[in-house]
Amino acid sequence: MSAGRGAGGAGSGGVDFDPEGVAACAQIVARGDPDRFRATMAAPVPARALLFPLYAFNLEVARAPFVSAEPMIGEMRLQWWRDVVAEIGAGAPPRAHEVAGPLASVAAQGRLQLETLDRLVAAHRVHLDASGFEDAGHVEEFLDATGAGLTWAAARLLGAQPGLEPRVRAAGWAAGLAAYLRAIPDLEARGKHPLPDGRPEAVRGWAHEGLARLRAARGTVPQAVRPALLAGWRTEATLRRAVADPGRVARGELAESEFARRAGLLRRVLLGGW
Amino acid sequence: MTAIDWTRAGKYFLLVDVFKGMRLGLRYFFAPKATLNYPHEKGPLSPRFRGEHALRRYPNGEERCIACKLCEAICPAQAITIDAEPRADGSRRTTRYDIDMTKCIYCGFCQEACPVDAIVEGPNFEFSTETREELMYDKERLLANGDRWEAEIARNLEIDAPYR
Repeated sequence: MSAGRGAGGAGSGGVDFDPEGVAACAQIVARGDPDRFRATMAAPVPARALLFPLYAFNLEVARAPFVSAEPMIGEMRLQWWRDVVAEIGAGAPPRAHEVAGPLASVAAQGRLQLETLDRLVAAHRVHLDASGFEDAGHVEEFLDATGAGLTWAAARLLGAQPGLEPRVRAAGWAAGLAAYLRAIPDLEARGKHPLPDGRPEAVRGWAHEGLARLRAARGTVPQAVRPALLAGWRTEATLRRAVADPGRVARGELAESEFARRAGLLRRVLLGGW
Repeated sequence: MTAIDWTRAGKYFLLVDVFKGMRLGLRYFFAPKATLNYPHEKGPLSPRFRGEHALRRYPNGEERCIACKLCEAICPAQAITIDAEPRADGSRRTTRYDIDMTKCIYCGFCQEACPVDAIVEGPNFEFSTETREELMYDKERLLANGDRWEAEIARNLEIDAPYR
């Protein structure tokens, strides 16, 4: 797997990355988020060296509340990641962690939005509490901090200008919603309450909202920024299925066929869409 | 006069009960055994089995533990004692990592709290000793355990990963 070899070129801002560190992050992403991994492998090699540490960080944070049945342990692990982000911001030597080290290298490039990452970590605290989200606004905030925040952080790393932020965030929000809807059966199996209102019409409303934001985000983006948005290539298919039959969300039937999934990514990569 | 039960008497005469008993014994003789020939055979262990503690290393030999002390903080039995100091390269490392195995309640909180999967409760359950002192584990002992059991520990973590 050539996740980050030769990554110290112009595309990565001239920062030297440890290829082994990037490869370790790529392995974490490949195991935990294969869709994002495939989309990132379709990106140029210098972009991968920036994106894999960020995505591996996202995965480590996302799994922290689920590592233990004890909320206190989840809280400690999330706080540990907030400390990592704060120390990177303060310029302290990175902690000897297989993700924290490469993430610090990415931050040295100067475009990593640490406050976005801190917000992302804080948002995952909702999963520590079995009662879950308080209301629809809370869900919206969560998706804004996670899906939208992560996509915008990735886009900024790839050189997106601030003017693109509303569109990138809207696409990320929709991608985050689609991923969250796909994860709902698993969350329910773990005893969580994934949505404050689980009625089919409410679920359909969320999917409609996601599609509307995705439509608003559509349009051309600089070629360099495209890999950040490509990670959400399944968004539209997932949300359309949820709109057509909201019951599919609870039944875990939102995933398209393996062929359709891979063909969707291939089409976007070849035709230059996202 | 009491009537004779000829059927019963015939079974007694032909040792039917003895043969029935032998048949039952033979059936169990060839049936799968409920017992194990320990220590040559051992029962199956869950990948989540919480046995003897170990400190793991990265494949390049570097210690995983970064002295964050989360395990020490979460340990309900207060069995873990850590001292740490920064190295020349700025990274924090432990100078002392002790576990009092006589206090440990094998709850697994230490491995759940560890952000780098350094401290784990491995698959080894055969670590009985003759003295209490031998159950005061230090860092060298824990690292040696990690080196010895790394293959099994890594396999168990991988099997359990989809559920974490």
